[in-house]
Amino acid sequence: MSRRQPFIQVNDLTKHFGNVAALEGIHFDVGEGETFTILGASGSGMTTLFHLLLGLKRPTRGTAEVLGFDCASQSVEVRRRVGCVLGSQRFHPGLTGGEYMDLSLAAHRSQESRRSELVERLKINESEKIGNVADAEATRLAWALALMHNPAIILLDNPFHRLDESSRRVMFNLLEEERSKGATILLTTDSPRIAARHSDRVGTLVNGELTFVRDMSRLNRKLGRRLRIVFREDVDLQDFISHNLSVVSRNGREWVITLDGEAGSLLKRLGKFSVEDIEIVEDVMEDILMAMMRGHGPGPYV
Amino acid sequence: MSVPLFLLQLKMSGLALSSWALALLVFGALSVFWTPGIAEQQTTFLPYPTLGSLPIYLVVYALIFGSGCLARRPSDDWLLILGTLPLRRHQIALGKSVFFALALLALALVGWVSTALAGEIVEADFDVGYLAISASIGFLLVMAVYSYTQIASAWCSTQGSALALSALATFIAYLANVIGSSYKGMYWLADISIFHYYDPAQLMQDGVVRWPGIAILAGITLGGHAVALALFGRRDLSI
Repeated sequence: MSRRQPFIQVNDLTKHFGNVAALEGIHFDVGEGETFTILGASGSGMTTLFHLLLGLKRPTRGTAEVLGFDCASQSVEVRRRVGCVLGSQRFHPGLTGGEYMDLSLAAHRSQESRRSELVERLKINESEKIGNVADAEATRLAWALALMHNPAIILLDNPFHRLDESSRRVMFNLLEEERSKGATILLTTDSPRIAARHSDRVGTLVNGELTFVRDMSRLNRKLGRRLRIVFREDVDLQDFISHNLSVVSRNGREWVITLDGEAGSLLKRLGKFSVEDIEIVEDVMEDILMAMMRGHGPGPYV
Repeated sequence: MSVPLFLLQLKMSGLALSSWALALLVFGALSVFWTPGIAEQQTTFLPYPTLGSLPIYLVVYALIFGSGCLARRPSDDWLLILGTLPLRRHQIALGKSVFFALALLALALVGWVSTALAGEIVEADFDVGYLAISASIGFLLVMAVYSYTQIASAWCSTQGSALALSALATFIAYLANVIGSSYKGMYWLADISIFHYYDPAQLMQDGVVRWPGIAILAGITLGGHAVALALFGRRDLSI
C-alpha cells in the first residue's frame, strides 16, 4: 500500500531499566490507515514500547508521537485518541464488564454507539464479575473497551493472547474489518502467522532493537505464492512450466510451485490436466518471519 | 469523571470499609463499657488505650489503604485499567485521597457515635462535644499519616515496600512521642512527632483546640499530598 501521513512516529526511542536495555534506539512510523506489526519473542520489548506510547513509562531517550502529540508529555491526549488492548492487562475481579464499559465511555466522553454491537458480537456478559469469567472473555472485554469509542488509532499488544480458537477467529474478523475501514493499527505479536496475514508492514524486534522492517505486499510479490498441487496423472515439467511459474519441488504427482503475478495463466495451464488437490502453502512467509524474529535475517529470499 | 471513579473505588473498598466500620462500632462501645469505674473516675477516663487509641486503629487503615494507592498491588489493581484511559494521573491520586478522606470521616463518625451512645447508656459524665473535637483532630492525624504513606506509595513500585516504609516512619514517630514525653531532656523528640499534636486525654479534659498543632497536621497533609502528586506524575507505571 502507498504510505500516507504518519499517525505514529517513533524516533530513537530508548528505555533502560537500570542496566537492562528494554528498547534501544527504535525508529519507525505508521501511516494513516496502515497496519504495522512488530513481531517479537516474549521479553523482546514489545510491551515496554506500548507503555511508552501510552505514556505509562518515560523514555530514557528519544521521542514517540501519536497524531502529533508527544507520548510522554501529552499522554492524556494520546490515550483519548487511541484504543488499546494490552496482553498484560488484567481487570479487577470484583467489577463487572458493564462497569468497566461505563467507566471507559465516561473517560472518553463517548457515545455508546458501538457498545451494544460489541457486547453482542464478543459475547460479553455485562453483569458478570470479571473474577467469574474465563480469561478469554476478559480479553474479549479488553477488545470491546478498545474499540467502543471508535478510536482513530488501535494499539494491539499481543491481543490474541489467552483466547480460545473460536474467540480468535472472531477477533481476526474484527481486526480485518477495522483494517478495511481504514483504521491505523499498531500490532505486536509473537506469531509469524498472524504477522503474515494481518499486516501491511512487519518489523521484527530482537532484544529491544527493531530490525528488518519489510513491506508485506512487496515481500509477497518477491516471494510469489507457493502452491501445492496434486495431479491425478503424470505431468511433464516442460508442459507445465511458464515465465511466472517455477517448481520448488516434485514428489511423484505432488508438486510445490511458486506463482509470481496473476493466477490466470496458472488456471489456464491447470485446465489441461486432471488435478486432484490444490492448496496455498503459507509456510514460506512464516518461515522468513520466524527467522527474522530470531535475529537470523530474512535469508536468501529477500 | 470524578463520580464514576469514586463509585468504582467505593465498590472496590466496600467490604474492607464495612469491616472497619463494624470494628470501630464495637470498639467505640467496648472502650466505654470495659473502662473500670468510668462513671466515678472521669479524670482517668480516655487516655490511650481507651478512646484515645481509636484513631490509632485508623492509622493502620491509612497505612494499608494509602500504601496500595499508587504503588502496584499484587492483585485487584486500580491502575490496571485506568492507565489506558484518558485520565490525568492527579485525577487518579486525588480521587483516591477524596475517597479516603470521606471514608475516614464516616469511620470517625461511627466511632464517635458508638462511644457517645455507650457513654449515654452507662451515664458516663463526659462531654460529647470534647469527644467530637478529639475525633476531629484524630482525623487530621490520620490524614497526615495517609499523606506521607502516599509519598511512599508514589515512590515505591510495590505496595509491600510502600507499606514497610510508611509503617516504619509511623513507628518511629510514635516512639519519638513516647520517649520525648517521658524524658524531659528529650522533649524535642516529641515535638518532631506528629503524634505529639494529638492528645485525646487532654482534649477530653479541657476541650481546648491547640491551633498550632492543627496547622502542623494540616500542613503535613497538604504538603505530603503535593509531593506525592509530583512523584506520581513523573514515575513509570507498572500495569
